[in-house]
Amino acid sequence: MRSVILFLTIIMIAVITGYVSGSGDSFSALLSIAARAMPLIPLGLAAAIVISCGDIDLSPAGMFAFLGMLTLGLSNVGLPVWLVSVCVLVSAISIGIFQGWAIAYRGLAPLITTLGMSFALFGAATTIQVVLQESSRKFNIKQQIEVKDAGATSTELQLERANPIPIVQTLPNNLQPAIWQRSLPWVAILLISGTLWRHRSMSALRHLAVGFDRNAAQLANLDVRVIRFRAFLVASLLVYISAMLYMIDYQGGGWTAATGRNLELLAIAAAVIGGTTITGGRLNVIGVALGIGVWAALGHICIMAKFLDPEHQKLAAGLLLLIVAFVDSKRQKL
Amino acid sequence: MIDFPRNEEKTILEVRNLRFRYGSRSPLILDVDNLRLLWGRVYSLFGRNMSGKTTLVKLLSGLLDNSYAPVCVRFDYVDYALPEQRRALQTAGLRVCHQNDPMFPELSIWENVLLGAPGSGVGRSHLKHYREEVSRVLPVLSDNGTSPQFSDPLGTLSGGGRAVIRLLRSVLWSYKLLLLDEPLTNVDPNNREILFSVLREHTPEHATVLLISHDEQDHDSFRKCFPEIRYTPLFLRQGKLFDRNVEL
Repeated sequence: MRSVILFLTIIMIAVITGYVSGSGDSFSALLSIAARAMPLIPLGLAAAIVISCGDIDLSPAGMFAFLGMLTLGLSNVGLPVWLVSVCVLVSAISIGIFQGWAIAYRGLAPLITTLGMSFALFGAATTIQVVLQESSRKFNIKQQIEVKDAGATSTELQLERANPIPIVQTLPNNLQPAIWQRSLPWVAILLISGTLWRHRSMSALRHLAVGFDRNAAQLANLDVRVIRFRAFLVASLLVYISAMLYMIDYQGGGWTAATGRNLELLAIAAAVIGGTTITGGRLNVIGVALGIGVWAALGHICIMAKFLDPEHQKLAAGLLLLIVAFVDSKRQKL
Repeated sequence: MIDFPRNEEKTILEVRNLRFRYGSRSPLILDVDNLRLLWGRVYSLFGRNMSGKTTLVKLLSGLLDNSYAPVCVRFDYVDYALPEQRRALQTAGLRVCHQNDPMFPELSIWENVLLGAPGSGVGRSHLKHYREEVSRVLPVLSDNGTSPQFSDPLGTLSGGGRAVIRLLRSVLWSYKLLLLDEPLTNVDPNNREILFSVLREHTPEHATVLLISHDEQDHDSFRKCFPEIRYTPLFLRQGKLFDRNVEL
């Protein structure tokens, strides 16, 4: 029911966007919303997986920024695409394993652990960006020295050094998205496999049982630690997919250390709007995708409607979240 | 670690020199020299409140870390003491019906039963059989004349109905030893009857059952479920185990 309402909301916003933009083309608006939302759907799923297991993960944004920056760094060093992918994937898995181990096996508080990881990863992303900027600056100066006549004045070189260096780093030109790097096939695979897993597997039932009540899950002889560990590991893989799709398919290869800031809150909000209970035990895979879609639709209408400011997107999404929280609180407790 | 003799073929569970306390300075909760359960027997362990019954069940099911005593429990061929070994116990055929296990009220009745399945999962043909078994019980759990459905949340059942489902979750999947910790608490006579019939029907001849309760009526009903020859009473007093009712 909730998925239907969210779907109709997106359609309605697309129609309104077509109208307010003056073109009347709702289909184009829908495509824009889809293009904006699709790379972030794995991120929403990552948050939903952890939340439905009864935990919370604030690290996706930091991981998102770090993995993107690492991809750029390794690409600019000149590594082949496959090697870059493997290195970044290994990094994502390592982060997931560390978080899962610390929280599930060592008993660290999820909120604090993932918050700490988020700060650390943002810091690491910024460090990579600084290194990239520095190397790019040196490279520019070297080129200028080579190109220009050896008799160029020191004042000219100083002026060159003072030139603002672009903050946005980009992938080398040879990294153009292939079909398997596009969002649509990945999102389709994730949604189908996620829905099948949710409704057809014992593994999902055990996952949600741990989210419902950890003590009861232990009495039912479920391996609570393994299930929590696995949730963090899967979440890190989903963040990796999301970061790659966002970079290649949406940003066109551009990235900064701040890319992804506050996205963890978007992911959590989308999961909750889509029907995932913040206390755990409920997960709606399609709902999460539609929750991201509603957020993207609200952003799109704010951009297209000249009388609205992009900040109004947050206002609208916040109000929607409050309504959802109110509706969820009315759900009958058993 | 205590070296158990391997030639005792008929022993399903053996506990020796079990001394348990909840901290190095807390009083001794359990002081059991020897507890030996045999294949195919049914035992009822009677003990008053605070006699250490639930602690014993938690220890036997691997929920408590017996770090203040050496490993001293053997189930079938698994020696254990640490919670990490609980999965191995389930795989080896130990099922436990815990006292006041809340289960999952928001999940459906069938999903709650499924959560008792062994970790490796169950084949489709077996699932169909188990579903039929549950469907035979559901109509008698009705309080208001309408039979509960598989997909109904467990929370819609009465306390007695939940107790029956809790027992079903333990006995439906094949087992060697079943530990029942106060399974009849807050169960009315009607559901008590259903619960015992479920237990009788799902206890194979080779399986061992240990009922733990403070209520003599529970023990009487339990004894009537099984042939007298299989039945053995046990008594727990202030953490010590006796084979007859003694006053300390």
